[in-house]
Amino acid sequence: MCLLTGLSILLLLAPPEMAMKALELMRMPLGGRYTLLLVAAINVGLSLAFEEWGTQGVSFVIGWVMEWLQQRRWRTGQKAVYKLVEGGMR
Amino acid sequence: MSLCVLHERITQEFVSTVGRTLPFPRIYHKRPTASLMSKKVLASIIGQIVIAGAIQGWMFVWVRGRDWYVQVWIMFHNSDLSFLRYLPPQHMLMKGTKLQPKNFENTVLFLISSFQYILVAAVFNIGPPYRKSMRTNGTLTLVVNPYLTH
Repeated sequence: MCLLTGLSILLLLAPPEMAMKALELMRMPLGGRYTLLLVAAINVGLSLAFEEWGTQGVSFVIGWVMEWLQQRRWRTGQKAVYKLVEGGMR
Repeated sequence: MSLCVLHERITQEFVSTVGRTLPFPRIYHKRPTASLMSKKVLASIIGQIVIAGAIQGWMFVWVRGRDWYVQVWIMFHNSDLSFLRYLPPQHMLMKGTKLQPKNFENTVLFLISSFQYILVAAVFNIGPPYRKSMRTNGTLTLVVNPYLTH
């Protein structure tokens, strides 16, 4: 993981000329490259923060939407929905 | 190798090798989520897509606002590729011009997405207590390294 990230940083900050040609990359000023690195770090932070705290809120919203869709289906009768019968049909 | 082809190949090989992480040696007392459509999985996927998309969109706009940014266009004359030129944005709608794949937008998006591939692979790798750590997946490391060192 660290190795992969290190190689990506190398490609971003000091790419070899051969890599630039092979990947058809444009030459950018060093300031721009550092900004990209900062944005990548922000991206990592955001993604990890979302996984830690954001998923619960979003899954609540998804659950609410799914429930709403289910109720709508029940009302409109678009698909057969089986209801639990008292005594389990005995 | 063009960036689009490279992106496609990295994605394919990430997909085919990420699942090869071996199971954890001990069984955990709680079972993992079995459904791909569960709320937790969907929330994670949607969130990561939104974050990655927002970052890429921001970078796309950001690079266009730099003073060193130059829009690169290929000029076509009589349907034949005659010469390559750098033109300022006001020539964007000029007849007979076509955007060249080697440009600042592609470069920036490629560089930022190479981090995003690794990040998303790490985020969606469950790891302990259900699977071994991503570090132990030798195939993934072997497959991805040549592209990043290319």
